[in-house]
Amino acid sequence: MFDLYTIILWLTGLMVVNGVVIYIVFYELLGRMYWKKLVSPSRIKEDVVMCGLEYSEETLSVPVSRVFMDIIKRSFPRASRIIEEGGGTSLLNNWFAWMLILLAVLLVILVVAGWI
Amino acid sequence: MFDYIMESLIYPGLVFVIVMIIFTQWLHRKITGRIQYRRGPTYVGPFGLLQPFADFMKLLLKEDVVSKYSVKFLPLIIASLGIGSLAALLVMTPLAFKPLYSGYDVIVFFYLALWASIAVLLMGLATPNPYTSLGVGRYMALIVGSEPAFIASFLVPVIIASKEYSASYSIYLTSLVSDKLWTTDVSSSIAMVIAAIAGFLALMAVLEIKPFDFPEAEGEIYWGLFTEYGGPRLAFIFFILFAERIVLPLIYVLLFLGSSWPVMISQNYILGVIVILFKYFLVFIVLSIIDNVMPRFTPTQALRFLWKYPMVLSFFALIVSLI
Repeated sequence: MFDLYTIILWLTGLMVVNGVVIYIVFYELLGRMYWKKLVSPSRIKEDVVMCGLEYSEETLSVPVSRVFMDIIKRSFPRASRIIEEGGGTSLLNNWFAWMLILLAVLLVILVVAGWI
Repeated sequence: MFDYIMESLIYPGLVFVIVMIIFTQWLHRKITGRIQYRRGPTYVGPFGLLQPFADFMKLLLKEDVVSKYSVKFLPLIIASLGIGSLAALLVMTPLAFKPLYSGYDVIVFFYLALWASIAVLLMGLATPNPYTSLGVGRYMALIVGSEPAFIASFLVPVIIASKEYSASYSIYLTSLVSDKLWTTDVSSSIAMVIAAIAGFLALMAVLEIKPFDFPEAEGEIYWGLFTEYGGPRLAFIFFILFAERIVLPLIYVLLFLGSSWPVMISQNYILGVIVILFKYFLVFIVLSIIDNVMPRFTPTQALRFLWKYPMVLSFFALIVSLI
């Protein structure tokens, strides 16, 4: 049985060794043996084509955070409405309330740990 | 040192995962075929067994085409590390002849298991496409919904084993005593039943088994996360997703389904491994059948379901196990 720090180092090291082997064997080696010899350069290959039209703009993406927030809002409409309309904002912005909660958590931890 | 590297590269690491992927994908396709009144793969190899390998090689041998706005090199490194993390993870289990373990190594397990999800997410982020962005947004929602329940439920057996059998929050030591956890006392039994149900649902979501496959949603957002990918890069993504379907159900078997019970793996290693693999294939068959017969949730339905049921159940089980 090792200690935790040694285990983290070992497993991260093994993960990197596996990763390097996978990259070299499945990408570089097979590429050199086969597909890199078949490469035929073409301008159209690198372009983004949507609905049959070439796109030359760089901003093609929808902001991921907007998609994510939209899903969260639609999943929990009541909770997000309360937060947006200010029902919860007063409490969320109240640093005194947050510190009170932190103090209570610390006290609980101290009692559980048997320090007080 | 050499032993651990060999274990991580060959058995139960990388080569073992590749062999298991070929066999489980064949099994998955056969089950899908049977459910859809087809025969499934029959042509390549005996009983069509090598068809998944042929498809994998076909992708790997294609030309690597990347659009000019994509990140070129980073996705390959991230994907390789994602697969590497899953293969390294199995060295922590009793499947390894000389396992690597320590107290509190469950933290390392969650860290390595999350690497695969992060790799898939970053692969999607690396390409510019509205459908890819939609897929990434959906995948982020899936991670937010499923990972807390997954972590909380998989912690329950580890906590009970550490409290009752001095397993020191280790995956390996917990899996040696996981058959006893169901009958330790009443509260442990209740916690284990609830955590097993919540854990299975969270596992389905993490593995994108239907009804939780909305980040891909072929007919709806053109494969979402993977729209822009083809050739070797798509092969790498499949590699991560299929390796996840090997490693995470195996951990579920080790923690919840009594590991190698009724055989003691520390006394009879080969029979113990056979029992674990038998249980794993049962879990995999159940997952495949569910994947084939369920319709797909919308993202909102899935998130509501995950936060209402698996998350509440898993946190309840966690509290019960701590009492």
